[in-house]
Amino acid sequence: MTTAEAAPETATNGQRSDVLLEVENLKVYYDTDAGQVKAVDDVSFTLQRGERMGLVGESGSGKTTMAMALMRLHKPPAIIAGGTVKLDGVSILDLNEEEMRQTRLRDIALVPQGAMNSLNPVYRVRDQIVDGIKHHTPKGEMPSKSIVAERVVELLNSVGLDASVADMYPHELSGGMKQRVALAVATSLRPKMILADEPTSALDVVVQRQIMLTLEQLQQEMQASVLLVGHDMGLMAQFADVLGVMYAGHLVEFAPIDEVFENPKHPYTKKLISSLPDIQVKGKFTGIDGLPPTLVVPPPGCRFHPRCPIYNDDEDFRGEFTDLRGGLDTGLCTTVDPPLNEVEPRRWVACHLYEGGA
Amino acid sequence: MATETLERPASAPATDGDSVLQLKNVTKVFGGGIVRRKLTIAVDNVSMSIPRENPGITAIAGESGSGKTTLARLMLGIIPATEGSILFSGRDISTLGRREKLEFRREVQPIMQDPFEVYNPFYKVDHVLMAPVNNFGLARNRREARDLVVESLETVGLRHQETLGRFPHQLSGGQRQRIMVARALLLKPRIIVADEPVSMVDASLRATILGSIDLLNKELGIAVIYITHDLTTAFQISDNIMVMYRGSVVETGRVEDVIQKPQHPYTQLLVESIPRPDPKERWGRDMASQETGSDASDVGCRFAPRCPYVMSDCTVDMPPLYRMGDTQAAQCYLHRDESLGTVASVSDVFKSGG
Repeated sequence: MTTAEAAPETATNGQRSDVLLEVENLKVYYDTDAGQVKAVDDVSFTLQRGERMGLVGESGSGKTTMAMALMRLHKPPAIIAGGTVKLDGVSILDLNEEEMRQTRLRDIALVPQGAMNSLNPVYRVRDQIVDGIKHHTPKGEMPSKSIVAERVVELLNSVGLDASVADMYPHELSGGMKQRVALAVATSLRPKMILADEPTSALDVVVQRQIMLTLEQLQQEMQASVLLVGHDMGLMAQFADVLGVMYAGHLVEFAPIDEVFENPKHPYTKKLISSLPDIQVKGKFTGIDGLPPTLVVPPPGCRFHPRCPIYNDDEDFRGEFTDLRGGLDTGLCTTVDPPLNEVEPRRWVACHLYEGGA
Repeated sequence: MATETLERPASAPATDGDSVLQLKNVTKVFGGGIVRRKLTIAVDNVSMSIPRENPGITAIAGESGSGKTTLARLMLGIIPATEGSILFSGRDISTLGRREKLEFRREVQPIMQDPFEVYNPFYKVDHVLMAPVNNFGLARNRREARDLVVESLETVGLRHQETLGRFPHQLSGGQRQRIMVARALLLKPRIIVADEPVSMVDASLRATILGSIDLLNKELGIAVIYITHDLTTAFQISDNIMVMYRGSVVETGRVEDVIQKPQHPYTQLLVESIPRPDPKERWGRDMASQETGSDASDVGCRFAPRCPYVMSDCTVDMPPLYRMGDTQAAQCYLHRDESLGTVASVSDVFKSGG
């Protein structure tokens, strides 16, 4: 890329843009016998360099499908039906297979769900790490054996493992140690972006905390961005700088983490936050009524309206929303799918409550 | 079993008819055979009792390998204890006759982690509800049976129109789990042992399922044993809690006391590690108490190799449960001097009255 092509806002001092990842109108569909499932439907957001983003949603909301599509690791019958993904200015969806392979791990790396399944049981830890480096380094650029050996030790130490682990097989490691190895593999080529899909879902809380703090340490040291996909709002609160909330294939809210917890705007996020159990107050523990909709025939208008406390005028929710609801034409909820709008600086919401510059 | 010849540690309370379930110095050891030579003490000398009146909800919390699931299987009579005895309504469950055993199987119901495994994919879900009605003769005719099933579904917040007549894969995980609660409800058991009932369910549905389990306890007086690794939901729904680490109960008592002011270093570590849903209360950054290899010492306190406060005594003898008040006890020498004596049974410090 030449400097002339750089985005206008960064042209001032010739530095790289602050935006690392730009996702625009991304659509990922599944073709099934029952019809087309719009698992990711028109999702747009940007992620800053060095920023940690959380992405939450119920199972089936499309969060994992979207994350996988960012690396083009989505599996058939999923297809990318539209949109663009730019990583550091490079259009990921336009790369050929070979270019994409070189981009993975070097620019964007994955920490998969359940590392126990991502490691090859018949290879020693050392070989798993070296393999990754080899596979994703262009021909002729592979460093010498001794440099690679040093790098393996350095990587293991950076994730809190002893150098001796290099000679062990996966079955000799505990769940937490395997996940640390997965972190070492993912960071072996110092990617600009790390994608972590529920990296601690199978681990105990104490180990979970250690792994997440290790990931944070690595991320800060490399100044990489992280996309953490999951369903645990507690984990998001602990780790993320910004949070995206997905519902039925749409991104319905996107905002800095503190603001999401202090003042959630979308009724779904509001419900999600108020349904979180904590260890301070007993009895503050409710669910979200109803079920997520089928994505073959999503509800008309806003996909959340059948479960929405505002649309349904739930008594528990009246107080804080009364003023807003006064100006709401609930007819819109059942007919028009609300777009994701920036209603305040850095606060994006897809809800008719906030339309008309509220 | 040669339990008679073994010397029992400080006596557990004598059997009283007021307990619906009682564990007396129960120990379970795995291995020692030809294949697995090494002995694993999965449950180490646990005594507790659940009262018949106002049994409440008791949480058994711990990480994987703590022995909590083994304890559940012992309570359900799925596996026999190596030492000690388990009494149901005063009768040792290892000596029950055929009819009593059937009675026991009806009175003590499990709710398992992944309800999908309980279902036969070729049968409609009706089967899982009708089978107990037929097997235990709960209804006189088909009509009455169906009414019973519909009623139990409604109690757990399911519409029978949306559940009956469907196959398991056509229902969500939350619906399948609630059907298991409905099934337990049909049998009106005395005890429900729920092993991680919500760990595979979306957060938004957890409250509903735990709410229906709570209902079984509050409305029908069914004793609930809630086994979990999640201290937050344990805090929310249970009255009392016991925290396990490598087979032994390290802390026990009223759930508010144990979770809000934990006294055992292990419970403290667990509580500190909860990902609190508040960005302003982030985890401490110290990475102390790293996990160690799986070979913890079998002598003394099991937590000693990881404990930041370890003392010389800790590696010699297992500490007893020191009573810290009416409703809390911790198995830790740190509390030896300030304690109000020791407790023999985990439930001695339970808050009574559910």
